[in-house]
Amino acid sequence: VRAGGDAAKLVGKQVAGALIALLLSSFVVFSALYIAPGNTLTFLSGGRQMSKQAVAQLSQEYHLEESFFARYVHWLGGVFSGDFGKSLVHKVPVGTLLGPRVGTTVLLMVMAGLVTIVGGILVGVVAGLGRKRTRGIALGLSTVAMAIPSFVAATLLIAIFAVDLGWFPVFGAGKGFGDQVYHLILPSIALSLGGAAYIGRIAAVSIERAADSEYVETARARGLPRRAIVRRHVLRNAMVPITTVAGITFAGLIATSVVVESAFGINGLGALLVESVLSHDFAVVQAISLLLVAGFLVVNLGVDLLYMRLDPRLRRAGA
Amino acid sequence: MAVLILAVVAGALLLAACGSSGGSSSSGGGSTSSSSTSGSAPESGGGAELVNTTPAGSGPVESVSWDLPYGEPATLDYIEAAAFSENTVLSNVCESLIHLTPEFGYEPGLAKTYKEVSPTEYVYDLRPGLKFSDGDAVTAEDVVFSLERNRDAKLGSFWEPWFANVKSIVATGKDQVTVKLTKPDVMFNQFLATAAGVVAEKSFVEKAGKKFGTSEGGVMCVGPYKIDKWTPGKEISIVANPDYWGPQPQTKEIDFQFLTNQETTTQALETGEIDGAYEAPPSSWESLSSSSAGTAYAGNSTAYVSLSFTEKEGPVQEVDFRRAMEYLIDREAVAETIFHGAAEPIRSTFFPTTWGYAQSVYEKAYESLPDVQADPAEAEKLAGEVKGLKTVTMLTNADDAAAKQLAAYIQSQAKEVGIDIELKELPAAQYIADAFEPEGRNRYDMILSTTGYLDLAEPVEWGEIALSGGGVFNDFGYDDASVNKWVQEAREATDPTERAELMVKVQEQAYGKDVVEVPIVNSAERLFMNSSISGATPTLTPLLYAPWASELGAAG
Repeated sequence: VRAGGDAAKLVGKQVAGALIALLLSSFVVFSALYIAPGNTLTFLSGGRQMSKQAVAQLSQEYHLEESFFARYVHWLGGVFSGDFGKSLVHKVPVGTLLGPRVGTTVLLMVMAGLVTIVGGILVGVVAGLGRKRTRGIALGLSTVAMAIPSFVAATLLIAIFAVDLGWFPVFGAGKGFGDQVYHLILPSIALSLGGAAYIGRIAAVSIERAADSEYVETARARGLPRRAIVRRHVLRNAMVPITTVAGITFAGLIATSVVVESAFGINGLGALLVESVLSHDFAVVQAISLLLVAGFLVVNLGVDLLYMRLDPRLRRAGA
Repeated sequence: MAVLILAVVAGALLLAACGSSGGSSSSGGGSTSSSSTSGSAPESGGGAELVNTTPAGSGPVESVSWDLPYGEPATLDYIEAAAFSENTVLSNVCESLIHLTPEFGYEPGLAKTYKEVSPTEYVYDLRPGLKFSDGDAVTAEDVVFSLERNRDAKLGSFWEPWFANVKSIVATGKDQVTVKLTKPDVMFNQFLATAAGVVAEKSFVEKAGKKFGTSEGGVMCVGPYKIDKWTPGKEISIVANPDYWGPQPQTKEIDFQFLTNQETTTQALETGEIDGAYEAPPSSWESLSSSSAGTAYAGNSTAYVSLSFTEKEGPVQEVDFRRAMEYLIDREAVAETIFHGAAEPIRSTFFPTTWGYAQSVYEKAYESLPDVQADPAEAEKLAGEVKGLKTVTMLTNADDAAAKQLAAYIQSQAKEVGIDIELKELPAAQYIADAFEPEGRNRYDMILSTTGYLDLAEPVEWGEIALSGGGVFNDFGYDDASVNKWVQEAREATDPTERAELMVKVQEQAYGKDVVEVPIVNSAERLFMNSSISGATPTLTPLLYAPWASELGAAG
């Protein structure tokens, strides 16, 4: 009960903080887009010259003539009434544009997150507890994996597993859940290679350190079985730094997904974000940024809750 | 925590800025004269075997997946549709009054006949019993409404310049529309063979309002296909239209994909996951040409690659410098190594494919233009004449592998003769935004463009929009009184030979003497079709303005 109460308090605090963070970041993104070079009308018109009337019409429709602050307030007012605005480029409500893409990106994130964390911990365990030779191989491979940029990984994976072997599709996100998972296997591997290798290295060090600690030696001296020692004493203690790194790595995945989505022809949020930033489609950029920030906050909250579970001291301190 | 969040957002923005999205730009094209179906096949330049057709499909096909390498169309409203993706889809669902034949000629489209009553009056008679894809009858009123949308300044139609001399558009019968011009203008009628001549249903357009042409609002026109489903970010499906006036297409459904990554597109074509695509990447042209998955066709095209100059003060304002740039580029080598043979060296923007009429006049003048071969010594000599020549900047499209290769080649050639070129590579959307706006453009000295094309086989188009003072695509700010006058006279010249004679004078002045830009190659349309299908039109721009999928079917 006590721990539950603490968790509720933590969630409450985090949600309040999250709302402020969302507001702040929306303002920062809006300003960044406002300052970025390029005239919105040029993007709207695809570069051709337009009549004065046409320009006036568009300016009015998209509030382009209003001041920076007025436009922000206008946008914010819309958000509070559930209206995220209309895409300048696609001329449809942002919700219509984002709807079909959110599911794809969320699935990709979840799959890539799982591969990153599970893969990372496996590498860590092998490297941290294995013999010198095994350790060398695991760390060597993780160095290679970390050095490969995700777009190169994507190209290699497509060439080997989709074109040569024909096991997986070359592009697209698929239709229906099973097909979507199948389509996203290669992309999630391409996306998580670097992160998994990074977590693997951190995990290897933490596991090694935990394995050399006095309490593990004590446990060993008391004759506890090796498996129990690893699970209860080594892994559990090594999990705190691993969790920290995993949280940050996951946030990084969101940004890297842009590259992977492009390589695999997946029309997710990342691809749309790139397109929208380049064309100053501010309503879309705002909405996606807020979604990404919200996603990040959820992960962060998850990490904090996990800390409480892993480290009883944090429970008492109320995070 | 807030700092971390901002870092993530900033990271996403940064990544976005380095990332890419497809895009294309178009420029206007020429037209042919007056009324009838006088189009003749332009000659292909030389070595490469260019085609105007592919073997017609010989059997039914359920569905075909087709890639749009420049990404999802921004709109399917015909007044704004003036880019590759938009028109590739639109031409099958929204037909024009006049059709562009695969050979760049003209033939009746929705208009059964089109007559030039006088140089200032045209009469269009609709095919009897025409129906929109919702089954409603097409009336003269719909035609008037559709054409008038191009003239409405508030709507900002891309095609507006070609309606500048229109006096009135009136329904003169149940199935007849008469257009009067304020003065003779050979461009008006020809442009009705582009998306400017599309007929949309008045009641539908009015009801859809601002949503017309979007994924939500859709379109309502006449064509062998109609839109079945447009899922933003995923695909556009078009299906055979049972109410079509002509023969039913053999392919029942076409699913357009928005795959913009060149490597992925190539791999999807080679594995057969995608059945066909126009504008296949030049970098994969060799592997696609030898692929067992299908056939690669190089079609005649009005697309060209050129190095253009801006209005920025500095060396580019001196003809010696521009001429020096011309001497630096080995066009044959560019055609062979960067475009893998799917391109021809050109001497001016009025290259053979654009000679829609009076070919002998154009040919003779073209042959008399200096055939500038790469000559670094000459370039160095000319550059030596230019005062204060230091570093010059060149803008290119970072998402276009061929453009990047070409830019690097020009840069290295220039370096050998002591000219420093600084490359500015921007993602497609940013590149287009900068290149088409004077303020953005004039930050650079030169622009390397690989995506321009003329809409029609008519040099007057380029004369009007790029070589005349104040033209929409006149990057260089070129404003020569004689050229301006000749172009206007050509626009009024209903006699093809007279028109051609005026345009070759323009060519001699603008390209021969003033080097307003450095034309490099005429790139072929690169079409790839899976071995199971055949029949798509391989020529640009006919594929953008007439239903290219009409003949698409099972390979024989």
